[in-house]
Amino acid sequence: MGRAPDYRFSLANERTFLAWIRTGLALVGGGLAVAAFLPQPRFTVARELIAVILLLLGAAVALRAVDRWSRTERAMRLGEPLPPSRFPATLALIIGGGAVTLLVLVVTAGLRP
Amino acid sequence: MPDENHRDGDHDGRDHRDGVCRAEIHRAGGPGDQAERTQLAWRRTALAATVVTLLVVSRLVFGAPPPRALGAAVIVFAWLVILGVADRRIRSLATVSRGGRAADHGRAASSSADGREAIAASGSRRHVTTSDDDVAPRHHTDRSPATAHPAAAGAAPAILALLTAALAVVGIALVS
Repeated sequence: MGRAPDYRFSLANERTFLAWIRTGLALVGGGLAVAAFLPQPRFTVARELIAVILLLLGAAVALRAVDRWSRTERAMRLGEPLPPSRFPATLALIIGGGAVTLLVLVVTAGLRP
Repeated sequence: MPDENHRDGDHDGRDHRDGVCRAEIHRAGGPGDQAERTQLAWRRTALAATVVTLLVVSRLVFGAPPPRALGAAVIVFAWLVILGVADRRIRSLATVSRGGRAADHGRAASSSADGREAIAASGSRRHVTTSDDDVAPRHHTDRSPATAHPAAAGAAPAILALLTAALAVVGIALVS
């Protein structure tokens, strides 16, 4: 399909994909850490909620990464503009909001069981 | 990855021999550097997957009873697949990296013929050339499928993304 772009662009696209995968893996690790380290009796609901949200985000980031990689590769081969995306901004807002919520929880309730 | 770089051989519309354009290309690294960076990115990703696998497996084996050995075995298998995919990709990139390094040496010696031979030996001849006019990124007229590209990742990204998502799903099953 289309013309093969300079392979340095393909490799740069692949590195961006891998960076997103590592972001997804970090979110999965963060979800597991929240489930493991937030004290059970006080934070049961918040603990599970935050952990599940982080794990879902991790899965979404991984799947979106491969979709983005493939669409970018296609755009480069066809000589089209790279596809725009609001995902990075959305993810930043969600993570920022989650971090503030977690901070408020920890400050108001403390970490001791 | 600015899309302006994809115009036929030009960088922001400047001539290939433009000094600014050459400096930018030099900063971006030669062909060998690009492949090596990608190799290292795969290594970092495999390492990150290893850490997450350890977290999941330790939770499965040492977490709340009962220990789920079967789940742990499935996760370990997925991790081994990730390592295998990464290793295979790193090996294929090593070919590109060697070709690029040979091209860099060929360019340094102002001997484009030697560089071309070295690239041809590594199987990347159509995509990396070493004459002065070909230093800038450019499109090539190859119309072969993506898998024929010397830097084509093939199915590796899809496998890696699916296994990462699978790790996340197992994590959800563990915490909820």
